[in-house]
Formats: sequence, C-alpha cells, structure tokens
Amino acid sequence: MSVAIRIEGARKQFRDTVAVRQLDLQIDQGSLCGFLGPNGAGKSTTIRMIMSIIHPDSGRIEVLGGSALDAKDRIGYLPEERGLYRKMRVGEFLRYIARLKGVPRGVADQRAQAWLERLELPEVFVKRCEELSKGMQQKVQFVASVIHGPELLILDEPFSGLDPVNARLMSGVVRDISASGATILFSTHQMVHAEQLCDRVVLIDKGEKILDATLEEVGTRFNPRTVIVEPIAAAGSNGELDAFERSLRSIDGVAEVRWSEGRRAASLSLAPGVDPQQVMGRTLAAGPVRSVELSKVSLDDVFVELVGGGPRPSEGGHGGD
Amino acid sequence: MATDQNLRGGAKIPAIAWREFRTTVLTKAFIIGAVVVPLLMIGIAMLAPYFMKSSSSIIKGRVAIVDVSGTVAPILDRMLAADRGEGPPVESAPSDDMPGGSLALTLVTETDAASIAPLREELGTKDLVALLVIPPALVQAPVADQPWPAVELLVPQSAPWRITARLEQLVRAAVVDARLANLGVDSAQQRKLMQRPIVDSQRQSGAGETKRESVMSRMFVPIGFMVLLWICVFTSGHYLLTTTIEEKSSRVMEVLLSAVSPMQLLTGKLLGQALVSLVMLVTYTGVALSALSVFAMADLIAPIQYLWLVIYFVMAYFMIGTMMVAVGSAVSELREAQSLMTPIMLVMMVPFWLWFPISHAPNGMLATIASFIPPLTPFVMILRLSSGSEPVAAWQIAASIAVGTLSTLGMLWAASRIFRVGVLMQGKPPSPRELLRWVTVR
Repeated sequence: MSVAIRIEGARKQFRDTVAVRQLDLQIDQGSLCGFLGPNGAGKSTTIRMIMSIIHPDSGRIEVLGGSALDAKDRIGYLPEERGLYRKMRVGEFLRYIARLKGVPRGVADQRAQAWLERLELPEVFVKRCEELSKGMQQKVQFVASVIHGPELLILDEPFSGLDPVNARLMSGVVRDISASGATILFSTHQMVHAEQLCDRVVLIDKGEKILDATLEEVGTRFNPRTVIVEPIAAAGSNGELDAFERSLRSIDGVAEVRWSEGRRAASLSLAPGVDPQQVMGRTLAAGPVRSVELSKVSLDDVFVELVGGGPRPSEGGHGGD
Repeated sequence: MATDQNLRGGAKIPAIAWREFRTTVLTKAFIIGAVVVPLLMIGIAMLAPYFMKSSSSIIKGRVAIVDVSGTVAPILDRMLAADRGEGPPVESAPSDDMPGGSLALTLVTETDAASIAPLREELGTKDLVALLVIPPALVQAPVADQPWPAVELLVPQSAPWRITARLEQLVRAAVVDARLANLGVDSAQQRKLMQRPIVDSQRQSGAGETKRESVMSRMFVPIGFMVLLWICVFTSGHYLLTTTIEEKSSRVMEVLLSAVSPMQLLTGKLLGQALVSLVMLVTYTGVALSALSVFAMADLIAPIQYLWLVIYFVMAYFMIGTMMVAVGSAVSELREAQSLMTPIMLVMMVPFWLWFPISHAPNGMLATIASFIPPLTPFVMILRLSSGSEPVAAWQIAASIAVGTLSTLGMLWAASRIFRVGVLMQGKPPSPRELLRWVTVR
C-alpha cells in the first residue's frame, strides 16, 4: 500500500518550547486515521507542518509523494481556527477557495451547491458568512476543504462546535469520503468520534508519539483492568450488600471495589498481572449475582491512562513505524 | 477524487489579486471616499466662483460722505455710479468682481463737519448704510514727516462686509485722484506712467524652443504630482494593511495558506491593491487634467512627466505596499498596528517638508542626496522632475531608478519573510527588533 504522509524525525521548536520532537509517522493511502492528544500536545503544529504552512526545524515530511507545497490542490484542510470572510457571501467564498484549489470557474458553483445540499445548507449560498450560526460556518468551512475533491483530507477538530445531529451528519460525510478512497487524518479531543470513525489512531503528547495502532490493536494491547458485577440483592438491603462487598474484597487480585450510584453495580479494579478470567470466576462464588462482565476498554481510558501518566505499553509500531 | 489540474499555481495569484481588487473597489467606502469625494471637491472648487457670483444679491443703500474739501465726494460719486452701471468706468477704480453681492449705492454729500453727529444717529436707518468722513488734510499737499490722517468709515453693526470692502477700495482711489487733481496732475496719465513694466521670462531649450517661466509650474505642479502619488500609494497601502489584518483576525489566513504559499498570497495581494492604486491614479490624474484644461493650463505638464509619474508610482507603491503588508501580517488588530506605523508615517512625511527647498533648487545638494534614500526616492524624484525649471541629470534619473528598483526588491524580500512568519502569529504584536529577527529566521 502506498503512503500518503511520511514524517521522519520531525522536530519543531518555538523559542524555548519544543512543540514536536523527533516525530515519526506514516499514514497509508486510503486510511482513516485519528490524530489524538491533549491540548498543547503538538497536533496542530504537526498538521501545519504536514500542510507546509510551517516547516520543521529538522526531519523530513513527505505528502502524497512529495512536498505539500506541490500537492496543495490534492489536499483538503480544515484548520482548528475556523475562518471566513465575514462580509463575503457563502457562494462567493466557496468559489474563491475552489479557484485557489484549482477548480475551474464553471464547476465551482455546481460543486458548492451540491456540497451545501449534502450538508443540509442549500439556502446559505447567497447569505453573507456573518449571518450564519457557528455550526453553519463550520459546515461551510468543511465544504471549502473538500470542494476540490482532495486525495488527502486533514481535519483539525472537525466536530467541535457541532450539535449531536450535525456531528452525526458530518461523521456520515467523512465516512463516505473515506469510502471513496481518500486518505483522512483528523484530530479530535472527542474519543467517541475516533472510536466510531477511525481504523487507526495516533496519540501524541508533549510533541512525542505515544501510541500508533489500529483500534483492534488498542483493544488487544490495553487489557481491561475492571470487572463489573451486578448483585441480585435488593438495592435497599444494605446488610446483604455490605456482606457481598466484603466477599468481593477478599478475592485475590481485587485491588479496589467501587459502587455505582444506588449500589446497583460494583466495579472491581484488578491488581497488575492478575488474570481477569480468574477473578470473574471467583466473583460468581462471592454471592448471588445478576451479571459479571469484563469492562471493554475505551479510547477514553487509553487516553487517560497514557496521557494521565499511567504506564505506557511498549510501542508495537504500525506499518513500519 | 482527482483534482482538476487545469488551473495550476500560476492562476492562483490572479485569483487572489482579483478578489483583493474587487472587494476593495466595489465597496461604498471606496467609491465614496476615494472617487466621489475628490471629484466633488474638484467640482465644487471649479464651480464655486460661479455659484458665489450668481447667488449674490444686490446690496442697495445710501452712503453719506462728509467731505469738507469737496474734492473727494464728486470722484467717489462717479465711482459708485459706475458700480451701479449708470456711468462710465473710472480707471482708478476697477470694476467690482468680488463675490458676495453687487452694490448699488448712492452718495449723499455733506461739506459741513457739523453734519457728522446727526448722520451718525441716522446710520442704519433710512437706507443709510455707511458714513465716510474725509479729513481735509488728507487731500492737501503733504507735510514732511507727518502721516496722513485716516478716513473714517462707519457702518451699522449688521452691514454686509462687502460694503466696507468696496468702500475702502473706492475711497482710497478717490482720495489719491483728488490729491493729484489738486496738484494739477492728470491722474490717468500719471497712473500709466507709474505702471511697472512686465518682464516676460522664458526658458529656451537647446533646440531653441522657449517656454514661459511660471511660479505655478515651478511650485505647484511638483507638489501636485507628489500629493497625487502619495495619496494613491497610501490609500492602497492602508487597504493592504487592513485586509491583511482582517484575514488574520478572522482566521481565514490558515485556510488561504492551505491553498497557496505565503509568497503567492503576498504577491496576489500586492498586485490586487496595485490595480486599486492605479485606478485612483488614473481617476485623479484625469480629473486634474480636466481642471487644468478648463483654465487653459494643461500645457504646464510636459508629456514626459506622465512617464516619470508611472515609473515612480510603481516604485512608490511597491515600497510602501510591502511595508504596509508586512505590518499587517505582524499584528492581529488595527490598533496594534499604530505603534509600528508611526515610524513609517514619520518617514513618509519627509517629502512634504522637502517640497519647498526641492522646488526652489531641484538640483541642490539636498534634493540630490534625498533622491537616493529609499523610500523617499520616488517622491523626491517626482518633485524634482516635475518642477520643470531645471532639468535633472540623466544619470541621476537612471541611478534613482536603479536604487529604487533594488531597494524595492529588497523590501519585497524582507516583507515576504515577515509575512511568512507573521501571518500565523497571534497574540502580542512584535517589536521592530523582533520583526528584524523574522527577516533573518530560517
């Protein structure tokens, strides 16, 4: 599979702050990759370097087989900082951006109209940008990033500021673009979107890559460390529940027991190195239970664990990383 | 998902330039501020004398004169009759062409000094609009070391200024005529004798052609050309500043930079505003030429001066434009630009201070040295070349164009370095020192 983005040893420093340090990254063509990280991790700096808006102090970046400067018309970019000409009409703005992206004059309007209809905004074509709501402006910006039919689409926080309905609409569009063969790299803080859309995630923190894996690999590598137990005992019978809790605490390998609100379910945090299957079997003997399940790892958990200072698993690498 | 390939990088700069031009020129602010207002001002200036003349009314009334000598009143009476159109013009009192209304005044003559008091009481009533008291000594033979007494002119508080202005003019002439008559001198002949001869100063070119020397062309044509250049260049420069700041503050800059390189964006913006500046230059030059043609003064400007105007306009525009766009890219708000603009504005006021000395000595040392100091070069050269009184050496013109072109390229390079870094910067505006660092940063 050919490579859409290849970053080798990229480093960027702003005065005393190192924004990106020795970053290696490879995004295959056709993949839909989530680019995750806390605020100030270096995501936007990396994206700007990929776009050749800024240049790395050292290292090498290759986009679609060359420099992004030569491939700007083949790349779509939705920056984190949304921007429109306030007084310009939406149609005029999209026509202008389309022209800058190499779309012929005659085709630009048709494409703009078609995209606006797809994003349920057909009426805004003649409106001034300043008349639009924040969500509408975001969708117009999205249209500006895809109007030229890019091979590579880079979206910096595409869902921020969108209500759930529009976020779902946008997710569908992103999925469709991915299905048509384009490579998509998008950064987000919202792990749920990454889980729903991506086939792969890259997590960076303090300018360094700390995770680069498919979602499947993440599920395998980050073993769940919590067992959820729902007792049969009535919620009101505190005596029975206290006895049940004592039994749970006595199980080998259970480090902590926490109750949900109303004491309907207990979460058993496992000690390091303990086999969850063994704990689940012992739980059944601790008292009458309605259900016992191994909690599924979420990207949120992985994010908190990695960025919050927890132990970092060794990098398995991806695609030659 | 293939991108259309038929519009490559080369077409992006014209697209940026066209947007810049359209969004500037097709705004009410530009049409009113840069085109309509100047046209209106010139129109008003041209039509003002006509309106003032035609709108004026006839001021009627009586003027009392107490002339004990009895020699001034008859002359003044003839003069007022000429003003009313009832008598032949009096040579010593040219016809009244001042704006503010024509006069139809009649003279009431008194020779008794005792009548002054009752006339003063009557002033302002019964159409009596002025009282003149001529001291007898005023028309007698002059006494050495003795100043002439003054004529007393009294008008009511509400009298139009035209009455005093015209009566002062007439009574002076009448008193002088009366003095000459008393001495038996023919005032008309004496006036003719006293007329100073006209000196017809002309400049002869090498080819033997002569051209009349004119203060107008020596002083006002240069400043006219320079102001024209200054206004056109600075208006566009200001648009460059504000549109760049707008693109930064509205965060549209990053969208643009995802499609074009900073250099393409900078070039497109500079070219677009150059077109705006050119529109203004052509409009104003056309208006000024029309105005000069109306007064039959179009020949004040030699055709070669238009060539100099174009050459130095291009130079001035790119020098100022690059500075403005660099400042615009470095700040996030117009307010922040003020501190960086102050030194630029101070430098750009220098040509105005140099106008007078350069117009007087277009080839003086000051003018020559200032011609080679960018960014003053185009403004100083246009002052020198349009003064028309002394030809500027050809080598100086060539050298100024060379210096100007090289410094323009240098400024363009420095501006592109600042622009490249500045457009993505947010927050505190940089100091001039930091701007210099941006120029050298990789």
